[in-house]
Amino acid sequence: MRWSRTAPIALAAVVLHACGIVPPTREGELGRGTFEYVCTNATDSACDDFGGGTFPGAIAVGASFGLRAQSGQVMTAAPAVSGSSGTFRASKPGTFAFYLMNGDEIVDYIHIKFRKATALTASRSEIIAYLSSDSYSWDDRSSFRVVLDDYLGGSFAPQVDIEPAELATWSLDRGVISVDGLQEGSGKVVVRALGLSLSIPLEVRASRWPDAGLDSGGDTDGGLGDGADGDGVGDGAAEGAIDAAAEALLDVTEDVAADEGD
Amino acid sequence: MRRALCLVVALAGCSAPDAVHRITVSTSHAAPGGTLENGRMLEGTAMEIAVAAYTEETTFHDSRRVSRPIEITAGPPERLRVIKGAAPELFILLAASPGPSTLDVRVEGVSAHRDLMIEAQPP
Repeated sequence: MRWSRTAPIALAAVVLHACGIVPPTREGELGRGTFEYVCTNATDSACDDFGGGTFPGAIAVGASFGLRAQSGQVMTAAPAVSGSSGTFRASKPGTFAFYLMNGDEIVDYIHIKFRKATALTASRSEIIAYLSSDSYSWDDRSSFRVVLDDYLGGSFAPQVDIEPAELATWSLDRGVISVDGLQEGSGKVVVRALGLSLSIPLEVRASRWPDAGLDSGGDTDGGLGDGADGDGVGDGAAEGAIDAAAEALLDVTEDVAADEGD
Repeated sequence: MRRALCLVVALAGCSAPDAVHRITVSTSHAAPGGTLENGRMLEGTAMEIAVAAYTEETTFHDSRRVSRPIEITAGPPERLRVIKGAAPELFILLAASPGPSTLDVRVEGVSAHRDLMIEAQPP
């Protein structure tokens, strides 16, 4: 048996379908082939985090994307679309053909719309970052995604600026932009992509836990005593408090016994 | 026997019954905003066309569609290309850049010519 170039794609498709994950696909206009949409990075809203997604109705001008098919190579004749080997970049608005080539024949084709994005949208209206990212929290507000208006497809490379720059740093991982605080204060996160920009208010706080770091004075442990902070400091005071409480309880017990004796 | 019949027919001033009598070139799948019939295509789009060749059966006085080698050219090549489709009579036109272009089809000496204006994508 010959291991063809398309075999890994077919195998991946079988595995994904077996797992109930359907990648974004569209039937060819001639009904003879299926085109699979490939997100070139995780900023593309057409793909979800699990290998599934929806074939986008249009691609943003300036964004990149991939197309592949099990039965041949996907190509385009449009000079307005740059790229090769199944990876393309939308260069200008319009409707462009992508065809499935098998040998010297075109098996099928699809037309895809390219449209200029008009706005960037962030998944958060405010970013709150911390100086210490020592623990994960379910209400983490330091990470966000940026999507294009109308869920236009296509991957893009967001340029992120923190203003003022000394306030925080940022990183991009699988389409998620995360902000880590460097010093307390307020500012903004500016994201630029595809000729558009977006500004999000940023606040950097000392810690995710408001009173963390206080080991005395503040009653942060719900009345358990300073010994509960685990640092060993103040353990004697806690024992004293427990002894006092036990003595008070003993006094009450003695009083009750005396009353009953009366 | 058949050749003799053809010879008799030819001598009588008629064409051979199995010779291609006429051809048709038509859109089998329209491109966005364009067909071969309206003579328009948008740059960057594709369109499937079908070529059919017919012979005139003098015996029955009707036309019959046949499979014959098809010669097809499109140009200028930087503007309009033609590539084989999924069947011998099917072809895909690929419009690359705006401007006038032509399509020529020939089947056994019978030819057809089409002019196509390739238009720029609307802004």
